[in-house]
Amino acid sequence: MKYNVLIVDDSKVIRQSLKRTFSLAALEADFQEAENGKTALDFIDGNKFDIMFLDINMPVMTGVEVVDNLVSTGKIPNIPIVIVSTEGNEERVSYLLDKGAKAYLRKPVSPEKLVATINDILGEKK
Amino acid sequence: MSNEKQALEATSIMVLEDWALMLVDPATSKKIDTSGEPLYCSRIKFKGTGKGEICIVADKDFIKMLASNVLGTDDSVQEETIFDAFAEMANVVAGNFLTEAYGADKLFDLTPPVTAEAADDIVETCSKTDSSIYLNADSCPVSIHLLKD
Repeated sequence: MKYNVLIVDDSKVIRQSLKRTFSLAALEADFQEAENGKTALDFIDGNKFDIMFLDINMPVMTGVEVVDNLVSTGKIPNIPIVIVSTEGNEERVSYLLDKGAKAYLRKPVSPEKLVATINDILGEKK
Repeated sequence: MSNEKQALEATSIMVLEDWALMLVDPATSKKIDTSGEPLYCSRIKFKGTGKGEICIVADKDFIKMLASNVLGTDDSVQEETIFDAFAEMANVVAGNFLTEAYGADKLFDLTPPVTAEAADDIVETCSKTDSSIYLNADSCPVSIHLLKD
């Protein structure tokens, strides 16, 4: 099975690392990459993603604003979101999980933890 | 050592060891000898319970090694990507430092990190702050500074 993956992070290094993790885990995937939340929402319009990795601290539109937008447009149940961020505030993390994000991983994320989370979420779709 | 400095040291070492897979030792010198080559800085501002910025100063050898390690490649990494890794290091250090120093109940907003050649006045300002950490990471010197507004 080939998965459709959306990676939203303003850091190219993080985007490349996430893609590499799929390769290391022998998971086939097509990737779309967005440098900010606004571009991510453009990708989401008309596309179906099996998993989305979402940073919080980004220029133009933050990850929190993306989640708020997906909630207000009713799209959030269709997109399994994994928050990957340095955010450490419990209240903000709880807010995103309550709104429908599936998981929260704090940077720096070990490849093992990332693979386990990917398998958990993609396993639900198999 | 202040709580902030302890938190900055613990966070910086964790990020360099766990994320960049580098061997980290305390540096004996507070000056980075670049033999005339420029130094670079990666800076990120925070605002919330307190205001300030984290500034990381290093030479290009460190930044190249950081990028190679994070990407898991020995191949040459593009110039743009090298500095992107340096910017992300400031982001990861700052986010973890703020929680470590002030607690998970405190809310902060971070600006996107920026990198640039380190002007002399930046290096001078950084060297004067009490909350400064000087490390060798895989034998490359790097310093991390907390500048409070």
